[in-house]
Amino acid sequence: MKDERSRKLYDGITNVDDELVEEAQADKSRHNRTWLKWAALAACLVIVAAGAIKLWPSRAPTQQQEPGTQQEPGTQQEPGTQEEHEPSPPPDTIEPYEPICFQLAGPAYPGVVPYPGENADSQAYELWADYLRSLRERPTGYKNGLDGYLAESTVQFLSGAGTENRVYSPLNVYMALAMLAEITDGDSRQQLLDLLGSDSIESLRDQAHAVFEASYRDDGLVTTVLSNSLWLRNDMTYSQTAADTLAEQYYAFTFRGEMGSDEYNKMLRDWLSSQTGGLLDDYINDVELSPETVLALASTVYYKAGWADEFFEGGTSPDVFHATDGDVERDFMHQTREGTVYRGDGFTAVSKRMHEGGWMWLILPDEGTDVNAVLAGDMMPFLLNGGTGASQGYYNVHLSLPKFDVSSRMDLADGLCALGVTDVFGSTADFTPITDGEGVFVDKVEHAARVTVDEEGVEAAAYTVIPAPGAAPPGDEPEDYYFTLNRPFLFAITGTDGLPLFVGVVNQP
Amino acid sequence: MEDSRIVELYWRRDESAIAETQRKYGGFCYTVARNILSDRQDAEECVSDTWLRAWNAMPPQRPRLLRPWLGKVVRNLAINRWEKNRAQKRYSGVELLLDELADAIPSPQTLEKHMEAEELGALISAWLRGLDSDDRTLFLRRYWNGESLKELARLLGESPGRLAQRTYRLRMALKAELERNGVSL
Repeated sequence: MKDERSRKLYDGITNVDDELVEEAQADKSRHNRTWLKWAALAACLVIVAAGAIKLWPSRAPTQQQEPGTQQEPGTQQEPGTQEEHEPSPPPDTIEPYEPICFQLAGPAYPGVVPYPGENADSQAYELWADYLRSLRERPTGYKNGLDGYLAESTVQFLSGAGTENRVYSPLNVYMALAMLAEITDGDSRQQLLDLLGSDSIESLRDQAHAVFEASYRDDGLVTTVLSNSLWLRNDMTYSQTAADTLAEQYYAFTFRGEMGSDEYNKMLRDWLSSQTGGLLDDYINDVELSPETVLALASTVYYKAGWADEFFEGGTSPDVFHATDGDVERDFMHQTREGTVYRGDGFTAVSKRMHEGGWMWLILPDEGTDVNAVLAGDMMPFLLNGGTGASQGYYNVHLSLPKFDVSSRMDLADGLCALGVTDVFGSTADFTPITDGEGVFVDKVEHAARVTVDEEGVEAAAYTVIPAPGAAPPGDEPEDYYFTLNRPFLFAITGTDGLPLFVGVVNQP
Repeated sequence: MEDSRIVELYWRRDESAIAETQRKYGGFCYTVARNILSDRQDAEECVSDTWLRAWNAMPPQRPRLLRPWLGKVVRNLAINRWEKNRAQKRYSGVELLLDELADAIPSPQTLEKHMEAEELGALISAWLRGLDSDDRTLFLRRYWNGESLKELARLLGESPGRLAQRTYRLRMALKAELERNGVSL
C-alpha cells in the first residue's frame, strides 16, 4: 500500500516539466532553446455611454448634439478652434481641456519579472522564481461568490448561437461591469452588484482588484494581460475621484479627446488592437464612438500560453464535421494519451493542460443532444468544480479535434437586461459618481472574442509528454476511448485556479 | 548532433538515429537506469528498451528536448521492471527511493483529490519553482535522476549527512504542499 502510493509520487516526479529537469542537469549542459509558440486568445468589451451632454462650464461647444442625432465623425470643428474655457474648476474634477487626444497618467501595473531565459545566471533565475512564488502566494478565495455570475452569464451569452460560433469571456465582461458599477449609483449600480454577486461596491472593488491581480501575468512565458480604460470627452467635467478609483483598483488608463473625431476613434482602436495582440482587428476596425458619446469604458483580455502536450502535424487528416447546417470537411488533429474522461448529464468532457498551468476543457454533447441543452444543464457547475464530483474513468484517450479559429461579436445589452441589469440602459440611469451630465445612459455593450486553436499554435507549444508507459496503475491497462469532436461542441479555457477566462460554442470549426 | 537533427533521423527511419542518441545520451540514460535499478545488467537492458521505445515513438512524436524525454522513458521502464521483478530480485536503488518518497505521502484528506501522474507532475513543478535553485537541483538530482546522497555530496560539496537533512526537509515540504492542495495518493 505504501509502495503503491510512493510509486504514484514517483510517477508524478517523472512528469515534472522538462525545463526543470534540464535545469537540474546544469553542470552537464545548458541548452539553447527557442521558446515555444503560443495559443492565443483575446477578448475586448466596449461599453459606450451616450446622452445629453452637459458641458462645463455652461457653454455649449459647436459639436454638441441632441441625443439620438447622428453626426459623421470628422465633420466637427478642427482641433484648436474651440473657444478657451473658463478657469477655476472645482478641485475634485477633471476639467475640460484643449481639444486634443491624449492619455492622462497611466496606472502603476503589478510588478512583473520577465522570464530570464535559458542561459540566465542563477541570480536572474532566482528573481524570477521569487516573482513566481509571489504569484503563488497571492490570496485565494477571491472567486467566492462569483460562481452565480459565471454560470448565469455564460448560459445567457452562449445560448442560441444557432449555426454560428460564439465566444464569451466571463473575465473580460466581469471587469467591465465592475467598472460600470463604480461609475453608477442607485438602482443602476445595485443591479450590477446583484449580478456580480457582491453586497456592496467596496466588496466588489476588492474582489475585482483581487481578480485582476490573480489573473495578471506577463513574464514572457505566460501572458494573461488584462487592460482597462476610460474614454472621456475633453469638453465635459468628470469626477477625479471616480477616475482615480478606476486607476488604482482596476489599473484603468484614462484618455481624453475630441469625442467622435477620427483621431480619437483611431486612438481607441489602436489601444484595443495593441492590448489584444491584433487578434481582434477585424472587429476593432469597426469600433467607433459617436460625437454624442459621454464616456466609454473599454476592457481587454489577452491570453497566450503554450499547450503542455502536442498534436503531431503528421497525424492531421481531413475528416467530416457534422455541422448543424450540414456536413463539412475539416482538418482534424489527433492525439493519443492516457487520461480522464468525464461524464456529465448529456455530455462527455476531457481536459488538456496548458504549459505552466491552466486547462482547456473540451465538452462534447451526446449524439442527438443540443449544445444549448448542455449549456442550460450541468455544464457550468461541472466546469466551476473542475470536474470534481463528476463520474469519470481513466482511459487511453484517442482525441480528435478539428483545428478551429472561432470568434464572435455581440451586443450584450439584451442579455444583460435579461440578467436583471436594466436601469443603466434607460432614462433612470444614474451616472452621478462620474458626471453630473443629464440623461446619460448605456448605449451599447459590445463584446468581441476570439480563440485560435490550430496546428501551428498547438504543435509549436511543444512540451512532449510521453504516452507514459508507467502512468497507469500497474497491471491495469486502460481501455481505449475515442473522443472525437466531429459535431458541434463547447470549450472553456480556465486559469490555474479554475476561473473561466473564455468559454465558447463551436458550431463551425 | 543537435536534438532536432537526431529527431529528424528517427522521422526518416534512419537507423543511425539510435547510434546518435546512444552517443549523446547513452551515458545519461544508463546512469538514470543504474541509479534506480542498482544492477548493471538490468540497467543496460533498460537502456536498450529505451532506444526501441524511442524508435517506435518517433514518428509520430517530435520531442524538442531529448534528454528529459528519454529520461522519462527510462524512469518508466525502470519502475516497471522493478514492479515485475521485485519478487525475485532486490533493487536497492528504487527501494531506497520509494522509501524516502513515502515520507512525502500526504495524510488522508477530508476533501480527497486524486490526481493523474501528469497533474501531479504539474503541481510538483509549481512547487519546485518556488524553491531556491539549490534545493530544486538537490530534489531533482535525488528523486528524478535517482543519484545517491554520496554522489550528490561530491557534486554539491556538502556532507552526505547534511544532504540527508536537507532532502528530509524537502520531503516534508512536499508533503505539506500536497496536503495544502488536498491531494491524496
